[in-house]
Amino acid sequence: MSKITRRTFLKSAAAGAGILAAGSLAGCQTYFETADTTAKAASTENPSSAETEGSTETASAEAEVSAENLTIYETPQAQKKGGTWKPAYCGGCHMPICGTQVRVKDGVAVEIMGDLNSPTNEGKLCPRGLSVLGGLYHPYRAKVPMKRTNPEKGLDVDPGWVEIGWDEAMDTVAQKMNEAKEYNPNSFIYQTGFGNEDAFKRLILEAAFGSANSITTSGPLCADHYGPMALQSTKVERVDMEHCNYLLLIGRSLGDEWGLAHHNTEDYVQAVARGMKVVCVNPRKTLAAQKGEWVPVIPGTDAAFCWALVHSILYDVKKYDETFLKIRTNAPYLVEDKPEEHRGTKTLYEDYVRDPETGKPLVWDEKTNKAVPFDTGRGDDYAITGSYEVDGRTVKTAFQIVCDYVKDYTPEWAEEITTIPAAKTRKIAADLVENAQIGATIDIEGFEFPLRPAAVIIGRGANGNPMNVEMYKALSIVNEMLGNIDVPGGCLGIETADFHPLDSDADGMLIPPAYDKFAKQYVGTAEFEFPPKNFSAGCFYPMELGTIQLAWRSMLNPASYYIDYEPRVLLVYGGNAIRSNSNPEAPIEAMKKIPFVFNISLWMDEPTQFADIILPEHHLLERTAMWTAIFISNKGTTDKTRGLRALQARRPVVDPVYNTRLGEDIVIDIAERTGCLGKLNMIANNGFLGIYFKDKPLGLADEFKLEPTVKYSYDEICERKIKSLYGAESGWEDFKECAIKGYSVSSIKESYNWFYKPDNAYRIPVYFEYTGRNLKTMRDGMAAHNVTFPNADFEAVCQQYSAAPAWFAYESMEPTEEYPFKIFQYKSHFQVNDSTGLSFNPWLKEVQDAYDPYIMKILVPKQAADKLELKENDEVVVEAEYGQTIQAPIHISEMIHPQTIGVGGKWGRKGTHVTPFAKEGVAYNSLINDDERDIGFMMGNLNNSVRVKIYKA
Amino acid sequence: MRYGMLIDLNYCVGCDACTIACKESQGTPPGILFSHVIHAETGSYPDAILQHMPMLCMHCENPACVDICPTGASKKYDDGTVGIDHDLCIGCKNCMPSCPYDAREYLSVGYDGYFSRYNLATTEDRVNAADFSEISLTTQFGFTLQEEQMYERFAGNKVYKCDFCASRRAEGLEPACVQACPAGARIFGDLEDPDSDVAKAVKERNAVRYREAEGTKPGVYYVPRVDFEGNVVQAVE
Repeated sequence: MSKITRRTFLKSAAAGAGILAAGSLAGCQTYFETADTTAKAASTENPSSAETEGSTETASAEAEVSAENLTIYETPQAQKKGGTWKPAYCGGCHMPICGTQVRVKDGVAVEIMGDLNSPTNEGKLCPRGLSVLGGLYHPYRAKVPMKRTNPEKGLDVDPGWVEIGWDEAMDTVAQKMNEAKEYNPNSFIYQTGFGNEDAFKRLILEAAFGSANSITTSGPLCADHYGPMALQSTKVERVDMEHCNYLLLIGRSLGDEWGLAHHNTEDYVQAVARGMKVVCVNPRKTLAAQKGEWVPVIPGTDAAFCWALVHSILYDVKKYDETFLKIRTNAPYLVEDKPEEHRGTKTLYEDYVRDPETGKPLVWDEKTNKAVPFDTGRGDDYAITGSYEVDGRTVKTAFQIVCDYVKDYTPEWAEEITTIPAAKTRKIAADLVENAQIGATIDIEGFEFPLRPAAVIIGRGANGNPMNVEMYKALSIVNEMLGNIDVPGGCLGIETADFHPLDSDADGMLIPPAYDKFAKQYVGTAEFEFPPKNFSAGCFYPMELGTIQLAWRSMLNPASYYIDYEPRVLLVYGGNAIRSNSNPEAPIEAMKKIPFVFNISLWMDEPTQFADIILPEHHLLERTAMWTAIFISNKGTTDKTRGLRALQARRPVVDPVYNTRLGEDIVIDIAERTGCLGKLNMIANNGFLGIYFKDKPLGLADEFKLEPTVKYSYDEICERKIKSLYGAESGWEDFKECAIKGYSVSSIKESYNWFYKPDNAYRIPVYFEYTGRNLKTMRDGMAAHNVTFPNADFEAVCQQYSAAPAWFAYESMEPTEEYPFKIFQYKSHFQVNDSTGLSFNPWLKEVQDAYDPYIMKILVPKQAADKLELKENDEVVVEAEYGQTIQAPIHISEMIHPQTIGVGGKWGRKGTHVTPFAKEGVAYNSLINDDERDIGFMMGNLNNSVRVKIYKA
Repeated sequence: MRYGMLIDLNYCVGCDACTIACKESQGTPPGILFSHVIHAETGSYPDAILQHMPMLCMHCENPACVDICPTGASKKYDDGTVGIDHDLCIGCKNCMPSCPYDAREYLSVGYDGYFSRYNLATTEDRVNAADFSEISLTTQFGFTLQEEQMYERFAGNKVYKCDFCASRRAEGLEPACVQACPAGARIFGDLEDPDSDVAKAVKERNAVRYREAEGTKPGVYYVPRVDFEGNVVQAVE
């Protein structure tokens, strides 16, 4: 018998007892791979999909020779459930990568579990993924095509739904879209979101149709990308949990708070068990904070702490990784310090000082004592501090600019703003540097890497405010001073460079691949394109992740954003602007105003409340889906997961329960009926599901490209992608037993990007030149077109675009006498993005009601409750300074900052046909302001923590 | 042999994957949760802690519930598990208060499914629901297709509890809560086999049993939670 592992312990017992149900775990063969011959033989004979009942004969024959009877009793609860296990993958969150097996009996899905063969989750599954069966047979799904009979629209106005046939529904949609096309293709708006993550807009209908209006719901609350795009050419940074010993975690969870099945949670608990210390700057004492250390902070003020950290490393610790700064960053690049002042904030937009002949940025070579182009040497002799005379100008190194600009950002200064004691900031700065072991190396498979086992990472809890980019700039500099980027122990990109290009621009600076839509968030837009094409205010937000909140306002008043057309048709597919973004007034009014709204929807929800036609779509277990997971762990990673990626491919496990269709097939139908099928096919050819292997196309390989005149099913398109990646012999057959096909780089060293591009292969910014460049392009463009910035003071915009360290207090940053609290939201493990409609799930609801003291409540700190004479469960009103209110019972907590109010998850569903129990609780996002008063002008992000007051209801 | 489980509270993140895994795998009717997690805040600012205590039937060596059962329905089996023979259970509920872990739940006759329980809370909802189900021309409110199948396993007027997933073990699978746990906090196996992962972990991690003083000798072990400095922040007593 082979070594007993956790996953194999039962099979030996079961095989010995002889009651192993051969074939009942189709798709789980490796579960038996080391089992004894009985199990193996049985498994081979029944390679797939055998009914359990069919195998019981063999089983009972074996049972006779069994020494031990495992069947403890024969009542129904203990009996085998029968049926067939079918492979699927989860769609319960924004990382739809966990393999599942679904037990189907008599055509009904009755049980789901993690797929033991899936490399992404190895049999594990989180509460959200485990609950999806509760949505499949849910009576509040959108079940048939419908049209409204009541022209009046409102959240509490019955639309007067009547059932119609698919033909009528599609004819109406096509007619309205064709009319819109004739008027102006841009008048069609396609809205997506995280509602249906595993069907997250794989087919780009609006582009095929000719519209520039594609909006989501998610971006403005999750502007997580500026720093990683700049430093790692990646969407999100992650910590190397294999080696990191000291992690400063700001407003982010590592998976400790919400139980992710795809390795993150396990990696976190293992790293902590190994001895990694996690210091959490957070208004709430998270699980990681309970285990490690909690540094309470007033939400939205973290940026002050971050700049103080830079200050303290420079002026207190006075130690940093000089070599890294010299060879890997633009610290030595020379810049003329010609600051501007906007609203009292010192800003700098200067370009590098360039070599007049080559145009290359200059550095100061300390050996020859003169300015030389940046690529003259590796950088060891370049000065990173000091000021120099070049061509009659006094210039400084970029790093000197940093030193000068953070001089006043002392820990004492930050304490006033954040409430974090200055001594604590100094201690953290010192601990980071000490733990980084600057100068240390580690040999991995014969390759010598720098070893830097200390890092700082942030998440949306901290960066969801106008200081977003400042925080990323500050912490980028901290990590660069630790020298930890893309090396063992440090802060890593999520994609590995075996397929992910790490290219540099003419200045030697790392730039994200041009095909990555998120690249814009670091490099911005080269031209000022006026007038803006889309409702998202385009040219005025050249680096935006998403200005979706403004898009709705712009639809209501296009001229105020220089748009010269009106919205005519809106398609909502998987997004919910009414609850997943900010104050819902604008989207509600826009949805009333837009002449024709139609939804491809799984649920009766808020957006369907405003639909003219509802096209009901399949539940995830009824539909074909596909996803290329180019990374597995997006928070932390280990040797096991760092170089791992996976292709997910799922076919329906049950027939449709209701009269629904596959969303993508509906989209293909629409394209055909609006004369853009050929274009849709071409777009798929060029980019369907994106990059996966370096030598394979972004979309489909030549021999599997779609013909422009042929209509394909989504199922066929997916199979062509499989073949494009794995060859003509491959196809759906490869996913018959497990919906996940993993791929891993072949060695551990190849999972670190430093291996591919060591030393000075490219440089990363301590001075964020692209930022200044974009401001100048916009400023010049506005002058050339003689236009003003829409609906905001341009001074406030300028304030946010400095290439050097900057600080400004934004509206709603700090509590006041009138609004003495900052409200914040935290993740509930019952809900992440509410993908697949978790808030409608009756099982989750039951557990919440029975056992969770926090859920649906408003968290009030003990000190405040005492002062306001509030008792547990008292009903309170929370009033935001922008006027919106929420109301719910309170939970008095000793685990939140005394000047904060907390809310977990987002609840309070609305609509006349929405699942009734889902109406309970508060809709957090409704408190968030959606205009330009406290927007992040660079990312377009919202301020997710506004000032509030509370009083008894 | 004796089946048992270890739950390491240092690994548990309180995510309730175990709770939902149990719910959907067992397919229990509303109100019946064989496995759940108690979440409780203790201490004061800033030292407070949110405790997560996963609960299930402890499969005791000295089960009070077996002694008190008048019909012999509650039994101790050779593999160390405590089960209920539902053919013999008369729903007298004597066993329920005898359990120090509150692991047993009573299912009444004519129980509801989830959508007869939640949907029709108010008259307004009832009207909407009726209208909607009329236009849908498909499912009426009542048991869903999944419930229809799974509830065949649950007769009314009986007491139910965790059986360490006997139905899954019969197929060579671990209990649903063990397999699902995203943190890998649970280990299941034969406590009497010194080479089993669970027996080794009980020994190596100094695991303890909940309410040891009751004399029940549970088959479920917990590893108390400690903070970074090694201070116990969640004892199991």
